[in-house]
Amino acid sequence: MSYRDFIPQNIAPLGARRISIYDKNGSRVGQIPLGSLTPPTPGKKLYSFGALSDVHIVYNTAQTDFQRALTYLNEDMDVAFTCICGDLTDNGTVAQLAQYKAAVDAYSPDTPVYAIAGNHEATSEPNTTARMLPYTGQPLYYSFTHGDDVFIMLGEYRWNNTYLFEDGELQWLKDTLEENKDKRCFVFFHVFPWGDCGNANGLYPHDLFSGAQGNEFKTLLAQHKNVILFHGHSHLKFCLQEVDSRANYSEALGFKSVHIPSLAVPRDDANGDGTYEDVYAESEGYVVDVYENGIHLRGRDFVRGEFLPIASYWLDTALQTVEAGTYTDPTGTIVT
Amino acid sequence: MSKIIGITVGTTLPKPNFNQTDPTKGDYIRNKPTNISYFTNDAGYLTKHQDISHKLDASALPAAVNDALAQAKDSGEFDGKDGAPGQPGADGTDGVSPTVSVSRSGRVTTISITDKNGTKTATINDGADGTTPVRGADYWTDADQESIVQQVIAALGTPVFGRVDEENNIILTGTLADGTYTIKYESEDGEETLIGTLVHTSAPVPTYTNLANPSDSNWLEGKRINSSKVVVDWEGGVITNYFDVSGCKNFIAVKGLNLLNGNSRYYKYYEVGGTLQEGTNIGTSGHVAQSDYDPSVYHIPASDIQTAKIWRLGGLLTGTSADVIITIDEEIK
Repeated sequence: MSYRDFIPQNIAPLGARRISIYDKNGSRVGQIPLGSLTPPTPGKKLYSFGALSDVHIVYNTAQTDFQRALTYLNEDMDVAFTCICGDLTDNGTVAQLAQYKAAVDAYSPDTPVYAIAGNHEATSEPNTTARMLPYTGQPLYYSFTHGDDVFIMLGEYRWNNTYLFEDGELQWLKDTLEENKDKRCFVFFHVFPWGDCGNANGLYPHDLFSGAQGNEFKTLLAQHKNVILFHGHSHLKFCLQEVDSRANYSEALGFKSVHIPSLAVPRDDANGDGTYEDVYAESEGYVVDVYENGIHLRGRDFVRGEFLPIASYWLDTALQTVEAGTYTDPTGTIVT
Repeated sequence: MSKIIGITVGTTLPKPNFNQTDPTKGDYIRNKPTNISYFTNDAGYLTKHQDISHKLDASALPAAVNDALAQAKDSGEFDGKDGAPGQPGADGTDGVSPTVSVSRSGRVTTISITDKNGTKTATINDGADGTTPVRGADYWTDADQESIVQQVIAALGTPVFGRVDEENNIILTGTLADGTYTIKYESEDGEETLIGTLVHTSAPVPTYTNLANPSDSNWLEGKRINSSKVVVDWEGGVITNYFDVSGCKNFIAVKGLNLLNGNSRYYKYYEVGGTLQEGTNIGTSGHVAQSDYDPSVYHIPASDIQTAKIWRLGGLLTGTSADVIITIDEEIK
C-alpha cells in the first residue's frame, strides 16, 4: 500500500515531524519518518507574498471569495503584497473593474495588490491598457522590485493566440530579463503555456499558446534560468495532482512554472469523465514564503482555512549564471 | 741659431732606420745589437700569433687513444670471424626427485620432504576444540526471524511500517486488515494535517480490461435477440452492451454468462458506408470452448469475428450483471 500523489518538489509543512497512519476507527496504526519530505534548511526568510488568480468578479461566489482571501492575506499573514494573475473580472467591463477596485481598497488596505489583465479583461481590446490603469493603478505590463527580487507583470492583450502580448511587450520582457539576468525574477502571466503545468490530464481544451508570440515567450523564459513563472487560466484545482503529477508544478518547458487555481471558480474532474466541472464553493491560492535560497509555496484552501499538503512545494532558487546577450529570437517576433 | 754638440738647434733629426746599411746616412744605426733577447736560448721564437686551440695536450693523449680504440671496436669493422664449434661436455650426475609424506600422531600432523640433501619435516598441532552453535544464541532460523518481527509488531502495537522514498512516495508495509486508512502529518505539538486516504485490499488487482458495462443503456436484462433480429423476453438472459472487437487477434474471453445455452448468441455488427449495420446473429453452441483454467470462462476464437467491428453477446446470467466480464485477448484470472 502506498501514497503516490506527491511529486519530488513537495515538502512537509515546516512544523511536521513525522507521518502517522490511522485506521477507519481513528486508531493510529503506525508512524514513519518524513524522509525526503523533510523541509530543507531554508536559510533566512526574507518576506511573503500572496499569489491569486481568476477572481472573476462578479461571478457567483467571486466577491465573497475575494473578500475572504484579501482579508486573510492582509490581516493574518502579513504578506508584503499580493499578486493577482489575471481574470480579475468576469467580463472586463468598467463596472466590474470598479467593483474589483472597491474590494481591493476595502479588504487589502495595508497590502499592495499588483494585478494583471487576463483574457477576461482583454474582451474589449484594444482598450485593455487604458481600462486597466484606473482600476489597478498599473499599466498593461510593468515591473517592480522587492529586496533583490524582481517581479515582472505581463498583462494579456487580446483573447486570442495571435496577440497574447501587445506590440513591444515581449521586447520589453526580453530587455527586462536581460537587465536582471543575475536576479531572481518572478514572472506573472495569465495563460499557462501549452504543454506546461495547469492542464491536468488535458482537461482544459483550448491552446492559446500556439502562435508565434507564445513560442517566443516560452523560449525566452527557458533562456533565463532564474525565472519562476506563475500563471492561472484553467482554474484547475490543486488536488488534480492526484491524477497528473504535472498539474500544479512543472519544469517541462525548461523553466520553473507554477499554476495557481482559481480563487472563485476552481475546476475539478469529479466525475472522472475527462471534462471539468466548476466548483463554486471552493477557493484556492498560494501564500509564497521567500527565503534567501528558495521559495516555499503553500497552497491554501481559503474556504476551509487550511494549507494543503499536496500543494506544499520547495523550489530551490539559487542563482544561476546566464550569459549576457546570448538569447536568439527563434521566431523573429521580437524586433530589436 | 745655436748648436748643441754639433747639432744645430731646431734641426729635425732623422728617424733611425734598422735596415739602413749606409753608414754615411743620418738614419744609419751603428753597433746594431745582434742578440735581441735578454735570454740566450730563445732562437726560433714566435714572430707572429699561432692558433693552438684543438691541439691535444700531452696529458690527455692516453685517454684519447683509448677512446679511439673503443670506437674502432664498437664499429665492428675490426671484428674477427666466428671460431669453430667446441667439443660436447661430459654427462652430469643423476638428480634426485623429492618426496613428500604426511603422518599424524595424536593431535600432531607431520609433513616430511626428502630430496638429495636429506629429509626435512614440519609439524602442525591441532587447534583447540570449538563449541556447537546454539539456536537463539549463535543463529536464528528464517522462521525465528519472522516470529521475532511479528512479536515486535505486536509489542509496539503499530502494525504498519514504511518509508518515504526519493520520489516522495509514501510506502507502507505491515500486517494491515483490508479497509480505508488516513495518513497525516504530525507536528511535535500534536497538530495534525491530513495528507490523504488509502484503501488497502488484499484482493488481487485484475490484470485485464473488462469490456462489460451493465450501466450502459444498451445492456438489456431479461432479453435476447431472436434469429429474426427482434428483441424478445428471456428470463435470466442478458444482451450486453456493444463492444469493439476489431483489435482482437486471438480470442474473446467471457465469464458470468452461460454461453452453452441454446438461446445464447453472438450479435455481429458491420461497418457499411460509415454506419454500423446489424449482421446475422449466430448461436454460440459449437463455437465457444471452456478455458482450461476455469470452466466458467469461455473462449471465442478470433476467427469467428470475421469482418465484424462491433459485437454484443447474449447469454444466461450465472450470477448478476455486475459479475459479467468480457475481455479481448486477455485471460480472466
